[in-house]
Amino acid sequence: MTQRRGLLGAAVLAAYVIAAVATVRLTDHHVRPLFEGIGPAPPYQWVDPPPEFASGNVKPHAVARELPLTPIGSGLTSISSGDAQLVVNIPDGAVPPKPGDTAVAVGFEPLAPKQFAPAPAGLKADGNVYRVTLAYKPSGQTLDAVAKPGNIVIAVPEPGVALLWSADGKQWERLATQPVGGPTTLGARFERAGYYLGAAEPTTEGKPSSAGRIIAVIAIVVAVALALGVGPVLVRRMRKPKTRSEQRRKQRGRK
Amino acid sequence: MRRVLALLLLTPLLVACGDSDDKTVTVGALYPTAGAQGVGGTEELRGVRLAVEWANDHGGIDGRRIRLREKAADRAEAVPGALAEFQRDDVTVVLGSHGSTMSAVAARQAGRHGISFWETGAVGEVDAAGAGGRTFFRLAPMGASLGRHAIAFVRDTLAPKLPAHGALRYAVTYIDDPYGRAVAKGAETEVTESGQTFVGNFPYDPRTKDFAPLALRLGEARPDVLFAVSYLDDGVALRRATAYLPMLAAIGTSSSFCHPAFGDQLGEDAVGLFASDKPDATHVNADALQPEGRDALAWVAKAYTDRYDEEMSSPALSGFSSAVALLMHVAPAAPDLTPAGLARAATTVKLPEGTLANGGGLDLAPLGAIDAGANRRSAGVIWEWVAPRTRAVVWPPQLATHEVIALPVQR
Repeated sequence: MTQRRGLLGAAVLAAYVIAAVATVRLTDHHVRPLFEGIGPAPPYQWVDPPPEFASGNVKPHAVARELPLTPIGSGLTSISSGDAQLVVNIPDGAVPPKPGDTAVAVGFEPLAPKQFAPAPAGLKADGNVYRVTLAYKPSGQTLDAVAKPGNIVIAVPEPGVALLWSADGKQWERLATQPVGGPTTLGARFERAGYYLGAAEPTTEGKPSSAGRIIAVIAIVVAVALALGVGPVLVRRMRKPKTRSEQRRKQRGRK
Repeated sequence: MRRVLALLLLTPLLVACGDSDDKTVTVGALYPTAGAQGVGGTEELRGVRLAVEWANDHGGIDGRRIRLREKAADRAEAVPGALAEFQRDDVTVVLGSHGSTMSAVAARQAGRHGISFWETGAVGEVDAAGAGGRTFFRLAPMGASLGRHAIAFVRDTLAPKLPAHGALRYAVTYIDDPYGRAVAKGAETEVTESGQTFVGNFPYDPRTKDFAPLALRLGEARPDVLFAVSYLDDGVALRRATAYLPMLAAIGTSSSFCHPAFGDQLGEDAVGLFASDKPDATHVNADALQPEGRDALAWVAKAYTDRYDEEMSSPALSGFSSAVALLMHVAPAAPDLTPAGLARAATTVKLPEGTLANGGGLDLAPLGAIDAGANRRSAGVIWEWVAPRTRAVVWPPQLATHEVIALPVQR
């Protein structure tokens, strides 16, 4: 696990350095290109926004890219969703060459999490589900996995704790995940096509609210008060001598 | 038996106090500590932490020690969840948030979570009808005030020092988000209300990378004075794109033109530019402060440098001063720390300018006012880049540490 995390960290760092060098070399933008600047993060683009963010939400679009295949397969590259919410970095030869095919099509499709199985216990969906597809061209043969792992980086709206993966969206698998520059950007190894989802810890579960606690305490107090107050009264009543009329009746009977 | 029953009846009340008790009181802090605004948010949070320390050293809130419960929100979408967690933890008063997009969400959501939210840094407009003065208070300057200050400074102080000119023509360009719109609105209002010549508003999309088309449009409007509301990277790009325009003055605002990194990136090209913003600890004229503000500034400037090995920035000083206003002045005057209790005290406590370490005072606008909940005595200053990588506070006169110099801005 430690080795895997180390590899993931190295891959993320390598991708960052490549992006930084490319930014300085190819543009006039002579600053670090990621996690830099004083401006706020751009608004998260939801497929299915919560009510408080529905106004002004821009729905994200599906993205399709073609990577040319060389004799060693696909080259080192970074594929982005265009809205900075999903980036997949893959090394040289991640997609091996295949006779007759000249390219590999990479697709990103943002989807609403409610269409899929819920996140595992103790987690909740954090942002959109992304379906990542790989297919040779022109044959159209799909790939389930890459030959050499890369990394996937997903921006999430709330501080997240894990990236989840699923082959079909019916059951989620938790990936070894690390925050990338902060808890609203998560990274993991990219090995397989399929569905990816960021996950956060639920905020509404766990410790009951103040009102709930008060009601619970009041109920306990009432129960204890009844036990302490009413209990002895009942016991005393049971032990108490009978009423006069009853005593008289008893005495008459004896007579 | 009666004693036992009385004790039992009191138990729920003790539990209702949650994390606060008769010896401590818990206050929330919600700031970005990573991501695009993580640096400024962390600095502002450090200021708040030092304010808690300073307040505790001076008796806390009515003798109760203040404990800070911190949560990070690195983007606006994280704010509702964080407020829900504060509510779950029975925290009823929260300081935040440094960023205008986060502040806008906090203003809308605080009341729903039974929280009184006190903004210590963000200046942007909020669209939360009824929250201002009830569950949302802004101790930092309003964006509109920064815009008004900027135009008033140019009109009254800088204009007489500029080369011969006719009636000055003002243009306003701004990033189209809550921060940009708020500051730009204030500037435009000041220009038009004071009878100046307004040549137009030039908003730009937050994703803009190429500023040449905007510079072209600005050039066609022929402004003498450009007021720009931007963040750092776009502010630098905007300046580079407009430096050739034949203008007499250019003034920006917080988050860009006043930022040390702005001067670092532009060097000589920043010289002569102005910025309307909050002061930092090394550029406040301590002689202009009240004794309370002077003592606090001397302590916090040293404590901050000792602890973090850097000078106390503008967000850090704003966080400190704003938190001191709440913890040492408003909260002790409130009957309790519920939103209703704090709202009642908020408009009754008044502090003259210079009482706080950043030169500000306290005068929160009452309910019913157009700026309800905003601090009308917040600290705002004008900075000038007087030499490459060197800036100074030049206005208002009582807080200035350098005279105003009219330098050419066309390159």
